[in-house]
Amino acid sequence: MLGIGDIWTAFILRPMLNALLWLYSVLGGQFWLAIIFFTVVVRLLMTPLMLPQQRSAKKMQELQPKLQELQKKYGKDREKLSQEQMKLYKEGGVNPLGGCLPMLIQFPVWIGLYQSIIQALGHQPLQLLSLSQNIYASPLFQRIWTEVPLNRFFLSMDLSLTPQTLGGLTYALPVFVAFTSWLQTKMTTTASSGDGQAASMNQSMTLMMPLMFGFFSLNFSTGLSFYFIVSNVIGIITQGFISGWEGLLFWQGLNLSNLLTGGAKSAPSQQASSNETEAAPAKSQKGTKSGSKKRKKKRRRKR
Amino acid sequence: MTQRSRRLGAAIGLLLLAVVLSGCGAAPTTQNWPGLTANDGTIYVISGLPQQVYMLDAETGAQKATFVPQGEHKGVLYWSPVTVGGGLAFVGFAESSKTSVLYAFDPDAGQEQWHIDVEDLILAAPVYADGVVYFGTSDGRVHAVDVETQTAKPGWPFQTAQAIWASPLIADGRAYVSSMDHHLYCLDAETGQKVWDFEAGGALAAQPILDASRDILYIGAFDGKVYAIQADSGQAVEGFYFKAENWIWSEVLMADDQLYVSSLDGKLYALDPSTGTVNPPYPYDSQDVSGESDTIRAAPVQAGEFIVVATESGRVIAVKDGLGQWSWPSGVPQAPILTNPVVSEGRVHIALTNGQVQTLQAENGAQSWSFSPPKGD
Repeated sequence: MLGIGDIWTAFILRPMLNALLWLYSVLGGQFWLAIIFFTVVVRLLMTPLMLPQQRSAKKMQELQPKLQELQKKYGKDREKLSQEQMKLYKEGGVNPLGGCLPMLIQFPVWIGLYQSIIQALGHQPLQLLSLSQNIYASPLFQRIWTEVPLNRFFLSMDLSLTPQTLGGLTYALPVFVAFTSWLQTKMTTTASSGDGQAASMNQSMTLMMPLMFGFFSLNFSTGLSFYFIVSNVIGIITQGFISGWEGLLFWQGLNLSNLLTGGAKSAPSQQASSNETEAAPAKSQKGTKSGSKKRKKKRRRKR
Repeated sequence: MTQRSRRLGAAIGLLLLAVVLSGCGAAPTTQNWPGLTANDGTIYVISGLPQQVYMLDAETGAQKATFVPQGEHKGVLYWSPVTVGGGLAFVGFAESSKTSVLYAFDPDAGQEQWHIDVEDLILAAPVYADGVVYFGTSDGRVHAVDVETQTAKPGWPFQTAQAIWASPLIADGRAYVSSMDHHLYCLDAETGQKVWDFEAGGALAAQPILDASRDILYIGAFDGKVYAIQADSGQAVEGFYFKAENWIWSEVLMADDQLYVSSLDGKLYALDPSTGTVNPPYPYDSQDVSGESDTIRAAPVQAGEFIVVATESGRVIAVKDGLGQWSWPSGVPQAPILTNPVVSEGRVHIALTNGQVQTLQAENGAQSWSFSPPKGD
């Protein structure tokens, strides 16, 4: 009887491993290139799963004015506010957790990819023995036999080792992974103007997901960082085409407290004083910018 | 519940998930399989935690002595099998993932005689010949150390492009070295100068064998092929061709004018040494015993009238004329077997990956004795 490990190996690990190895053999024996191509293919395959969530994120942005109205109307009655927000989400066909779901979908993929990288780049006897048992017997894959052990270096960096082991400049990889992950999450997550649970979750995601991926990159082989970075860049580009590129202007209006809180407003009293800051986390930078222009116009009129 | 506490909960949840997934995805602890050697009535097995060499009486299994490496072995579980020569036993133990120590110790009492530090891992048994100990390391170098002075011989080490996982073969003043870079190198055993090299279609993880009567070297490779190479010139023997259905990792065996080859495809082949054609009724498929597909990493050995193979699933099978004669154990195997079996005085000694040594009577597979390293030792 098949155990969960056998099912995982048969349907996740072996297909991914053999795809990686095949790409390696047709891309001139460059494993880093194989990872990049593999990531592009995986992202394309995952598009049907990811696209609805990314569209949902765009719809969320469109609902922002209505959410702000609800905030004004029910700001003091949190329960009612939450109910009305959920109703609005339902009517608008929006999933309030749209930002984190694409990330969660990737988990099995990158666990499988990590195992594949470790197996493919194995350079000790037991690792290669395990690899030999997971290469498909088909003649198409037998050419891989002649490639083992694989070239596991990129610019003299061993892709099978962790930044902690390699040290030096490789510590930049987790930082870059966290940054691109943050940028992607920021473009995808759309926090509501209210303080509902979903909004709170999304705001946490904006900070926690990048930190988590940075943590993984620090502790896992550098080959996995290649996957994260390429995957994040593709995610950023896709989201940009769907909902605009304003999210990339992250440095505008950026301050430390905004970053640490995911851009969430801190207290109801502050919300009342400024409608613009209420919507800050989910709103595009353009929205914030236009808000400041409005304030300037008001000041001019007063004068 | 406040927004802050909800956010904190979500953050803690994600962090916990990160830690759990780190554990799930972590690389397995890599070790190599137990080293097993038989020499002059003594079985040398590397086993236990921390690893040490147990010296056992080949007839009774009684422990005669141990050799415990004194260096700092920072949880790195790599070693080479023991080799005995020139009145000394030699073994390599890793100190870290990039450094090892080659020890020379008394083969009877287990007392250290000397040691030298070596860069990278020593995974294959050193070889002793004419006052020199030869060994390869995972950084692709082949070393020759003068036992008297414990220094490298002039002209050595020899650098190859990939790791060395096989013991060099020393014969007629030459050192034949297989490398994971797909090449078999023929070196002058004295000077370390390359005489010739032969490129195979896959990595070479086995020691070549020399058929002195034909002056031909035979070696299996990760491309599934066995290569026949003229020892004097390094040229492939014309008309010889054999390819298994998976990698060949272990040494081939020349017995009764046949070449016996075990492969990760789980089969034992008997080949014509001139052409490489499989002699019927071979191949013998180890699946015949267990009913499930199996692999054979370990080399076949001759024990009396049988060719004995040990499978990864943990079965030992004696084959004669292409048919299975006996197998061990009768029930469920205890642990995988990846180490080459050794034969001494009518007994087949097997090292399991759980550290046990099992000794079987060659004629019928009956258990003679077994040894388990003391727990916590």
